[in-house]
Amino acid sequence: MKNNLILLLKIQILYLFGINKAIKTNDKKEKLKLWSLIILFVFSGIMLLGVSFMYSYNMSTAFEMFGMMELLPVIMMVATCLTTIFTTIYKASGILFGFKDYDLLMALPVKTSEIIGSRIIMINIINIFFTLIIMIPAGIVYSIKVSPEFSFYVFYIITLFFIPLVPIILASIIGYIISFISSKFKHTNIVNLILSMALIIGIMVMSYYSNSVEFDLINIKSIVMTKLKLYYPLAIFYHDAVINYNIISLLLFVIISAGIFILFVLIIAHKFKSINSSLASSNINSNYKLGELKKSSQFISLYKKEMKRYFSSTLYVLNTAFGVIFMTFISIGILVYGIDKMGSLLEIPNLNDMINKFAPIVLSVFIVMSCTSCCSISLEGKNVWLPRTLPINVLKIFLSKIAVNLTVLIPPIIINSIFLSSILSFNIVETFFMFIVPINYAFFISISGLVINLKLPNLQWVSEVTVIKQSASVLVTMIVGLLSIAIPIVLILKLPEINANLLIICTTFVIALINLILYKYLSTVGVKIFNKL
Amino acid sequence: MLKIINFSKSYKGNKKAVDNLNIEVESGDIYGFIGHNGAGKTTTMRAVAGALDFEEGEIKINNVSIKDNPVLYKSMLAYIPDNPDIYDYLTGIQYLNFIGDIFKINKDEREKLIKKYADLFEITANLGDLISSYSHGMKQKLTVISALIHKPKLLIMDEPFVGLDPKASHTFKTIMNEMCENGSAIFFSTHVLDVAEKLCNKVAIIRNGKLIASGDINNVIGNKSLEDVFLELIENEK
Repeated sequence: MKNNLILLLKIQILYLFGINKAIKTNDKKEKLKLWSLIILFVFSGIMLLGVSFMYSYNMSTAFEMFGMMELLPVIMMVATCLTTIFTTIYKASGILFGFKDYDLLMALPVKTSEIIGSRIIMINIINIFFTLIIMIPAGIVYSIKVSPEFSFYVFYIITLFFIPLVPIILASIIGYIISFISSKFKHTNIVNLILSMALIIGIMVMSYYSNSVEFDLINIKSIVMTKLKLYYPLAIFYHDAVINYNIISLLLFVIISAGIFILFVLIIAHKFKSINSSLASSNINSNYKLGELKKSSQFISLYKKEMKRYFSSTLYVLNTAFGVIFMTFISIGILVYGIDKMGSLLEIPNLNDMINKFAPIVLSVFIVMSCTSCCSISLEGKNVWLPRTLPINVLKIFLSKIAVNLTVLIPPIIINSIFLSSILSFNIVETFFMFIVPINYAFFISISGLVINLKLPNLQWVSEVTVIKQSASVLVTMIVGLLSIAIPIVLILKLPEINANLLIICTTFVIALINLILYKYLSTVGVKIFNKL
Repeated sequence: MLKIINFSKSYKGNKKAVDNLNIEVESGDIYGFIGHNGAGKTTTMRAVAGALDFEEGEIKINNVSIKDNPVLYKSMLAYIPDNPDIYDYLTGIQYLNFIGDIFKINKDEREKLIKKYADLFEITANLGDLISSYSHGMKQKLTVISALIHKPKLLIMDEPFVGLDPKASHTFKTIMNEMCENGSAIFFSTHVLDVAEKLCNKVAIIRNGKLIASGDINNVIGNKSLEDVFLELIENEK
């Protein structure tokens, strides 16, 4: 008889990225689509490995200069932990608490700790992906430069699987605290959103203050180790294990990580039902009195509904508004500290040069990172029968979804463009570009996101995390968006003899033309696809 | 009113879920659609409601084809699915107002009808709460109210009584009779044969996607009960 934990885990793995669908489907077209996506995921992974290798290599060159190569693994380990916390904090509570198959699982004859254990291991499996992407290139760079003993490889590989455990638990606790506090308020989602934003801004501010400490280059090693000892003592065991091949430190690292994991599972198992009940309970007044109702046009009514959908999910807002929030954060930073200081704070060495050369495109980078429409069809989920049976033109449904994306993007574009144009004393033409280019990109990402989601829908989701953060349409839209930005940037850099403004004008025309073509596609083929969903 | 002409639907793998179905529902009819699990009832209901695309056959309401003019077609019907999956991030009243906007119901009429039906189904006090806090039955009541407030010419329902309490079921049956007296028509699927026998003037029985009996209920069942006839027909077709 198979272990329940493994059975529960298997169910989740089969669901992840539609793996089971890819294997079991008889529809050749569907099979091809799913396998193409899996190849795309693998390809993206390889690309990220390459970028990570370059990053580690560059860092190792600097470390080598000051004789601090031994810091590379531990610094990358800390980077992995921070990435894990950031990527887990908002999805952990969705995977651990309030998941859709909660009733089904809780009615099965399995231990609560097995359910929780399987779900945390699942989060760990997802995070191992990030761990490998950061740690494998770092390990390769370290072994090239230092040629360590055989024990390094053994210790390094063993620790890989334990690195994300404690950050996951930490992220789950923070995520749970945010969800718990929010659930006590009437406007749960707004409170959740405010707390989450406050956390992100808090981390950014903290990182600013820790960066502002002037490092003494000679003593940097001891400063880093002292800070690690203070903030994350496990990193010291890790460092001692992989660098000094200390087996006691290795055991301590593994046992403490696994111990915290087991302790967390046992504590949560004890309170699992009450936590889920408290998170699932909502404010019920049952004292509504019918009053005057407001009448709206079909489009406005659809738009209002879409806006409510958008703000009903903290994860949706955070994942899609992060780009514009970050953009505004940078603009305010430039206003307060100036470009150079902001550049050094963000560790972007040529920020001044970049902004002066192609400010509208730089602004647009954040726009293409903020797409709400690329998962808006998938988020209809089981409700999709509703818009499909309503007597409305399908194009109106599409437009309402695009309108939400534009509502999220255009006001920040206007504010940031005014900010940056006045700070950087742009002339009238440059100021015009500052508005028109990002707005054009806003239309592009909103329309193309919707088209991509229509081509790659996922209506059978169990947790909205899978649609908002892990779906194929979100990944493809992100790649398309970044390519649309990368191409003009490369052209401007590679063709210095051509006026940069001219290239920006050409880009704007091409993007506008693509927008028109995609809109036409939406109104014809898109409608047909929607009707077949 | 509703004409389903030579309707067939195949899913992936080419097995026909519904095979050459022909049904006509006339104004004033309460038409029951009966069949075993997987017979093709929900497929038919979803296609009639516009939630499922199909290639073979034609479906029309008052001679308006769903394929040629889907918006006008859908403006004449209301659909209540077997599972009330509705926008649970809206409050009950927001959902009803949304439906009111989409069906362009004028303000006074909207307020009057929402009040009437919400009071009848005893859900008025809950309309300000989020749908996510509703029980299955309350969601079902809300779906029923949303279907009634735009006075549809045709009401399509898949297992409409599941989840409704006895009082709500009784209220709804009364409303269904009133609607048909006023010229609307109702086409619904059910497994509860007693209800179908008492409520419907016409029935259609489907097995493995094929229609095996249809028409006036008295002609279909004769002196027997609908349950006996259904079981006999299903046995004979094996």
